[in-house]
Amino acid sequence: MWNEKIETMSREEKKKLQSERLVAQVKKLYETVPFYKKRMDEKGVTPADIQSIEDISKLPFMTKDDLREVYPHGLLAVKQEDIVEVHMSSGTTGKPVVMEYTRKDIDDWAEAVARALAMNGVSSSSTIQVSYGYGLFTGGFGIHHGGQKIGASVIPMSGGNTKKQLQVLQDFQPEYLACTPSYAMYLAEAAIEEGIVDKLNLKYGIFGAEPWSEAMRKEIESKLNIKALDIYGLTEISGPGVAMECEYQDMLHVADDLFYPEIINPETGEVLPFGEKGELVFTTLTKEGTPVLRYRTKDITFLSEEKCKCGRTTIRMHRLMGRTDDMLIIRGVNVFPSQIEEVLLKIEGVEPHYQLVVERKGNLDTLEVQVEMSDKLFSDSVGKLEEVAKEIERNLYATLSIHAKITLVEPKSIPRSEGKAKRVIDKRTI
Amino acid sequence: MRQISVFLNNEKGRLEKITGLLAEKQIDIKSLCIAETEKFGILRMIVNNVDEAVAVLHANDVVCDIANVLAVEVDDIPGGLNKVLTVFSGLNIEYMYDFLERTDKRAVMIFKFSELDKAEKIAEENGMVLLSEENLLNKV
Ligand SMILES: [Zn+2]
Repeated sequence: MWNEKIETMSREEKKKLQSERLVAQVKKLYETVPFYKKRMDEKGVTPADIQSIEDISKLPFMTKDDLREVYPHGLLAVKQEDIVEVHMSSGTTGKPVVMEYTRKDIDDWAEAVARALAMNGVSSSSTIQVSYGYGLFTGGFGIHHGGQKIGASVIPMSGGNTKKQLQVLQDFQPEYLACTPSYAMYLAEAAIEEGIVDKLNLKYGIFGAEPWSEAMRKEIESKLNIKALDIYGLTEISGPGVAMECEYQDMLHVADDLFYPEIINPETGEVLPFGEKGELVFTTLTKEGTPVLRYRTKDITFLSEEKCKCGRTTIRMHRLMGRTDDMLIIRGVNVFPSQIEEVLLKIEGVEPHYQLVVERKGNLDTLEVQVEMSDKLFSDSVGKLEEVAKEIERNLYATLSIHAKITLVEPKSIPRSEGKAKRVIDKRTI
Repeated sequence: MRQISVFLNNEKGRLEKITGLLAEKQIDIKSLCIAETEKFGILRMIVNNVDEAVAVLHANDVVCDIANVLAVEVDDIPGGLNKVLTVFSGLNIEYMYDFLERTDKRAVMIFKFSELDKAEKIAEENGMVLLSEENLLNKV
């Protein structure tokens, strides 16, 4: 265990630690960040009302929209000079969500990832190939920081370039591969095609950043002959490592001394007891740069406080069971139908009649956007119509960074129910 | 000569829907061709009543448009088409198809040019017979 004291701490002790941290965090935020003072004042809560972790339910929630509104520095709770790293959430139009990290924030994040990795045997003698993207996205850097904290060899491959990925997997013999599950599947198939699976030394996969099924896990495990583990995290909280599966692959251990989880009824905001399914909410207990209080993730799951077979006492979360909204996660990129609509409507002649079809083909997510033809868009020339489709494709890629296949369809061929079109057909089986 | 172009999903029964709508209004399809791609098709047709056809199509949520084409008489003998194409060799022909009915050993080809005016001029300079909407439709 990377941090046995914390990871096996009794619930009582843990609550005490969480309480101390929350009380200090709230007091500091109320005094230093106008956003929080305003929010708490609106709800009639003062720092004096927060005496223990149980009082957390008195605090207001925050949403992704709140985070967008305060772009770029509205959440900053320290001096700019104390910031050492910045990340932003991917796949959003307009203002992105910005998270700024102090050196201690990076260290806490690395601590969470180190625990997650060590949970599955990563040590200073291990080698990890990180095939998550490096950049504003937190995937690559998160695993990187955590792996280095342990002292493992980290190979920062980033995403793409499958040939090179396979080459490095062969030549450097990493035991660990960290990437999205769909990319793992893709790499697995490429490795099988090249007949090199036997030449690899992979033993574990650290997979996250998109929802995936148990069936997909089994498939990756058998294809690569590894153990595939689910890692959870989000930029708004820090990045990967917020929660992680141990060897028992039975729910994810939440680093609950750093990130406090709650489950709420998404309609009423009421806190739900352990075992009840609802929306996952996180509060960062130690973050300095851009702390968040009661951030609504829109992820649906449930929590358990039962001690795990591995001996850890942390709260555990079931792997994701859905989303409270219609957000689509396509190849790790968050996509809202409303964003696609926005892009479409900017193109002259496109009517707001469209449908999104998401499928998993060859284990990669594909997005098809069906757009209804209109008199304005129509042309007698096949080439011009194909150009219309290409223009839509280019605009979608430019704003959302996703590749979509555009299909022009006849008017009224997209089914309408109660006057409103069914926007999304998700054929993926999660 | 006006031609109606119609957008079609590339799936069964779409063409039938269009011909059905026109048949209901007693509109006669004189000629048609379909340009197909993997995802969609464009139906192009010459009908005896363009305005009424467009009205009925629009009323039924069919996307269509009118394109101007040239209807050129071609000698229905070996080398007849070649002679016409030679005359137009300097122009870009977007597509062409033939008219269903023939008369007096002469065939009629429908041509879509990128530069319609130029094509018309060249045709006239070379003494080709161009048919107008009225005379073509009355003739056949
Ligand atoms: Zn465990």
